[in-house]
Amino acid sequence: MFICLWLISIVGYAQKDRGYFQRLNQQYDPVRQEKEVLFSNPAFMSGYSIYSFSDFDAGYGQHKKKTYLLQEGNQSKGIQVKGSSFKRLKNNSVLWGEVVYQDKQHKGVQWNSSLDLDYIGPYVLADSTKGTNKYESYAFMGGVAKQVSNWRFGAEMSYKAQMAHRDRDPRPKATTSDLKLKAGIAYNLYKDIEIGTFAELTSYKQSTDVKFFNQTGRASLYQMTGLGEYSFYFSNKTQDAHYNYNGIHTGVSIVSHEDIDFGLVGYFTHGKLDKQVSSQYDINRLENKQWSIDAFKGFTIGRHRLLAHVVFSFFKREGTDILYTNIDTNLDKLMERKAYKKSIDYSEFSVMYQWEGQRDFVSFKPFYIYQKEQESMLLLDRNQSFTYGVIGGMGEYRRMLSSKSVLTLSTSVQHRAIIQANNQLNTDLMKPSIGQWLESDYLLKSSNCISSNLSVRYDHQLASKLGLYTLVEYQQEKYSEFPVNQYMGVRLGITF
Amino acid sequence: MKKRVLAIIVAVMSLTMTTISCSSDDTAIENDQQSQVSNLRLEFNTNKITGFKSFEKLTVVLVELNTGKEILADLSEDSTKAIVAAKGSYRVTIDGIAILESGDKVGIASNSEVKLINAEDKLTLSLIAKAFANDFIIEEVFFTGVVSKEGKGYNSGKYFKITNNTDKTLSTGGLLILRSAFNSAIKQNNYTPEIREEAMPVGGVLYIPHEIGKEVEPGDFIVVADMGLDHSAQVSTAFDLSGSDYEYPNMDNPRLGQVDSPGVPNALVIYSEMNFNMFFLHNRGFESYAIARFPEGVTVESWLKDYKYDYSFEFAANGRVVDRTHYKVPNQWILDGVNSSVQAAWEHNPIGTSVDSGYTGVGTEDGDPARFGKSIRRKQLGVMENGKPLYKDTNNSTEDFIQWGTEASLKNGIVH
Repeated sequence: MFICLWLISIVGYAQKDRGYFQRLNQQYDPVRQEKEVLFSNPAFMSGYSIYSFSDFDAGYGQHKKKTYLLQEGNQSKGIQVKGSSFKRLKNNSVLWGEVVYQDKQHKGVQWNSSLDLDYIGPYVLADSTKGTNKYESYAFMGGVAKQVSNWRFGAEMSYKAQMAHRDRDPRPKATTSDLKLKAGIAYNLYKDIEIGTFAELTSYKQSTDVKFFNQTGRASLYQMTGLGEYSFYFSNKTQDAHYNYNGIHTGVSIVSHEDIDFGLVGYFTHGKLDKQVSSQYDINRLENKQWSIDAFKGFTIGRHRLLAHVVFSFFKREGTDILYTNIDTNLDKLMERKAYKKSIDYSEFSVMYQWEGQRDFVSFKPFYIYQKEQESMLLLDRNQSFTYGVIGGMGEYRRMLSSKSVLTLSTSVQHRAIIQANNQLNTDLMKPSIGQWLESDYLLKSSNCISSNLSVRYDHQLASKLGLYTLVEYQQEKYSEFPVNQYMGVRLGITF
Repeated sequence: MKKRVLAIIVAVMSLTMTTISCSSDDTAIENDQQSQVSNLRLEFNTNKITGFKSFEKLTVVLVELNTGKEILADLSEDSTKAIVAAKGSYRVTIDGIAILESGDKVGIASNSEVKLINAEDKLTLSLIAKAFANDFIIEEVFFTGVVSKEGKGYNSGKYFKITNNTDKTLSTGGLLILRSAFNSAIKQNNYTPEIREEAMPVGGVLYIPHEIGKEVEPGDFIVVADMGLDHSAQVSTAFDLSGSDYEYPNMDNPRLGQVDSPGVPNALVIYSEMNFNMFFLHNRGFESYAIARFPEGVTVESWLKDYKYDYSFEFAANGRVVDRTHYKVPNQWILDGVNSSVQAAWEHNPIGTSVDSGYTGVGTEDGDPARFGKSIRRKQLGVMENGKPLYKDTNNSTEDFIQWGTEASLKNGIVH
């Protein structure tokens, strides 16, 4: 289905006859990107753009980190091929789709044989060996939306498959599948004020199996349960972990696209994860809940546009340990108890300014983020918390060099200041290697950090509706008192 | 218009719901934590301690199966005091000293398992007097082998170092070296009959005949090696064991390629569960070792005839019941014993608590690559009158041995 949508859009692209410079401004409209949250409801995709456009690019990137979280590794490099398309049809309908392929290597990964920490954390299958993960992923997404009178309807489906493995002992092989189905509806209340709601169902599975070729010098495998704790019984006895996540993401919104130019969007996400080992023992459960409110208000005066945006979000994750006993019987379930808790409070305030001239386009967004993370093991005197204040800005300048060539400079810089950091882990009581891992991560998480990004993109029009572009990107990340991390990437793509 | 009003109400209600749901439920979690704790009270059956009067020292160690968390409680002052522990499945080990009516003191031990699932739980433990002998002790067991400079494993050159920790000269004649039948990292269910508090199930036994017995001065030691030769000639990182007192090479299995050193007398493998009568030490040390002597009237032949251990157990994984046959050595015959494992893999002790109420091992992780070249080795308390080392021996190897392994003492050859 995704590929069909993709082909339809390629074959039948319908770029309206605009200047090349204006077309790029519309295709990569920063204000619309700032309102991206609105389009989580697929029904609103029918108002995503009045134009159709497509983008296809292939790129290579290399990230070298001297300061890093051990579970993420210290180097990654690889290619990405991506195609995306948005297509307006004649009967107030739109189609959109995206395909992404990635082939990467992550070096220096430690304490993590699994994928998608966001889904399964902290219940990873881990070992102390540093290794190189070879990673591949395929992602497909397609959607359709239609406007009928005062109503909008939309649906979207996406699927992502990932695979990662190592060629040296210990040799984990992790595979994931992530299927999302989403449907939304919106109704025009008055003038251009619309309300909408949507629901997205997620079904996610991950299987990780670890093999050893060398049976004499095997590294220990830990079924981690949070903040350095692990299942004492199942660690070392099991070499696999299977995760099953089901979730719902739903939201309501009220929006005025142009008359008042405002939007208020509320979201709620609820998901449950089960972890099983040896194909028969459920050992952990995880329950995620997230509430978010996004609000934005825009102002347009001539060629000047201003968009104020606030986000408030609260995320809560609770983990349950399932305890077993082997007294008197075979290994049987004894009890369940809540053992792990994590929460994230997130607030973001930003104002975006945008100006579009005949040959120049400028956007600038200062922002401030306040984030508080707390993580604790409930039955142990063990917790960590961090409060950050992030101030920064991002800007973009696009210049029409000639009727067929355009240059875009993008830059961003942000400073993450640590407001409060608390580390109550008692690492002295842990295995030394696990204690060192947590201490290393803590140093990073409790450090101030300045990160910046600079990219230069050159677009050249090859035919009336076909453009070629190349983009070079450089990022750096500097944690106080630690060496600098660097990323370099290059992309070559076409727009049509 | 009605539709519009309805739509607005739905939108406002949805937003309100999401906001209300943000309210904190920390109180519920705190209440939940309270309900996760159990008060365990221990009761002690002292019938097997003749003339028991009171406790001088009573230490309880609880280890939870799922978390590995250890709780140490001192009940010396009040043995009825409740132990507060998170609910779970625990192994309980008792170690202490009892005062007898006669005024004598005796070491006591016990172990058991308990499920703590209620707010108040009880466990009754049968206490056993520790058996101390005025004889040899196991000073060191080197079972890990070494790794060559090229990184290849060398699985020979293993040894027992047995020391006279008394103040009198002892003879090695008749000494037995026992290797446990049970693996300390694999616990099956319902061993029937369970005999560990009376006897040690053995999977292999070495015997030093009286004819080749030698006198050992107080504080001195003997080395019983798999092959009493200079292993460093094979692999430079291996040890020179050419000065061993006894060896036990296996000549029945040609694939082992072992050699019988002419100058070193052989200890006999009088029983082995392994093919070719091999006596082989687990290179991660998931077994226990002991030394013993037959009492008067018991010979190798009569022991082999009368001390079979027929038992059954249930596989922990699937409940299947299987029958097994090994041999057993009564704990009363045992001079000294040591349970060995690694912390990450330990599940149970193959030797009963009266012989060893703890366990030791090399490395804390299963398959620890740093274990090679290291041994389990007893702590030195001080020196004897003759200047030889005096070793700690409380029948609790967790206390008596250097945790978790240390460099083998014969790394630079055998020096008395």
